[in-house]
Amino acid sequence: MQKREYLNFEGITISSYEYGEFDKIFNILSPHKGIITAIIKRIRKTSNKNFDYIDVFQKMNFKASITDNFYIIYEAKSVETWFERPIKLTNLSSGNIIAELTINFNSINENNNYIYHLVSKCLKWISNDIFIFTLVYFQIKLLLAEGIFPEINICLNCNNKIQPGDYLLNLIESGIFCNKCSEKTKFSSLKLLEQEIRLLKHIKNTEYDNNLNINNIITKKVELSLYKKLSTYIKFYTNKELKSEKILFSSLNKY
Amino acid sequence: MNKKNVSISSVISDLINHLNQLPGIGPKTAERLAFHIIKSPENKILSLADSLIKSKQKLSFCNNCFIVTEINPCNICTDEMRDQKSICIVQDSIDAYAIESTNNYNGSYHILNGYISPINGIGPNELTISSLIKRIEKKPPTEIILATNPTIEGDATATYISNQIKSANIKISRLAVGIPFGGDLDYTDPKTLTQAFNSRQIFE
Ligand SMILES: [Zn+2]
Ligand SMILES: [Zn+2]
Repeated sequence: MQKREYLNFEGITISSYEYGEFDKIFNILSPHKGIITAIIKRIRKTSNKNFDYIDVFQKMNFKASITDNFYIIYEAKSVETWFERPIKLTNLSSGNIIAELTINFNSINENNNYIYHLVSKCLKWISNDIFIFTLVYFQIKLLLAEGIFPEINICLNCNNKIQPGDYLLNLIESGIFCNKCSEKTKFSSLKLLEQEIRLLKHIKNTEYDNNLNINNIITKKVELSLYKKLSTYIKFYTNKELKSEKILFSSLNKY
Repeated sequence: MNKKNVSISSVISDLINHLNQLPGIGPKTAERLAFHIIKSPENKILSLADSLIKSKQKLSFCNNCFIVTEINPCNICTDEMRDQKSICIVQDSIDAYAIESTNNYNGSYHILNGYISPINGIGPNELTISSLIKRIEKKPPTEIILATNPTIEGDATATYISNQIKSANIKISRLAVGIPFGGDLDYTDPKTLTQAFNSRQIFE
């Protein structure tokens, strides 16, 4: 017999699509169950006292009824909204990249609570117009949480300590080869420049809090090139293109 | 013979698949519609098929405003009684029809054919924005009304367009967001209520 359960939870709306004539389906990131896919009925048709205004990139308290793993939201109250109107394309597409990465890596595990607060923090930074740094930070922390951050301290082949310099990052082996051993890693490799490795290490070892100050951030050029390389690295693992990326890059060229 | 191995006719499954691809129609609804079609009288279904074919053969997008039309340029773009110096920008033709049904607006339209949605791979280049900019350069309007939906994506679309066409001589406005007629203040969410409050008007 189908059993109906009820759940109250805090969550962040990360993406949505229209469903049927009046309904909308939301992907809601939760601290304990990863992404919950839930339907909100008649949301495009009527206003309802149980619902605050609801769109993507909002932290809300939800009440849901669950039958057979099918979630119906019957109440949603705002906790925090990040993207104030008017919203710029760069902010929207950066937020969408966070959403796509979160969806691509979604699984239910002990990291859910960490990822939840990471997404929350990164959306806040993006709404404060900190784009590429936030995306690189998100990529690195996500790779660490998922256990696929590359080895960048010692050579994968000879175990010698990596000295400052430019190196090849091997996608298959997930790490760096020193210059002596790099003959062995011509295939599926990405060149990481010294500055990029430094930024990679810096973010790996630093937890920034919610109130990130843009003045503390290193040069823009390194951020963007590192972002693109990590994006290639991540695509190698997920086998998924990020649809928002192309639109973010074209909007960066415009401003 | 095991009855469970009897498969559904491929004609029916094709029909269900086609219906399922329409927006807002899930597999269950597609199935229901398919069996409704099968049970309907033949003449009704032939005339449905006929209008489907005609909609593809006779309708196209207006070269100027991109509304769905039988003649090109459309009736709205060629109507001299209309204020062609006012352009109302909407997401889809259906939104223009909704505004037309109010009999309250007498300018022209520009249909974007969607809205910016990076997560779905839809950026400014996927919409009719470059045609809009060319149209404005060729015949500068005095007024632009941004009538995209008040969602995050609709709003990002409006913001993007307004940044592209900013000029001292064009009055750019955005549709107001507020409390619906017959609505109840107590039932209005705080964000809408704040917006309605901020865009309050002189009472005459
Ligand atoms: Zn080595
Ligand atoms: Zn027209």
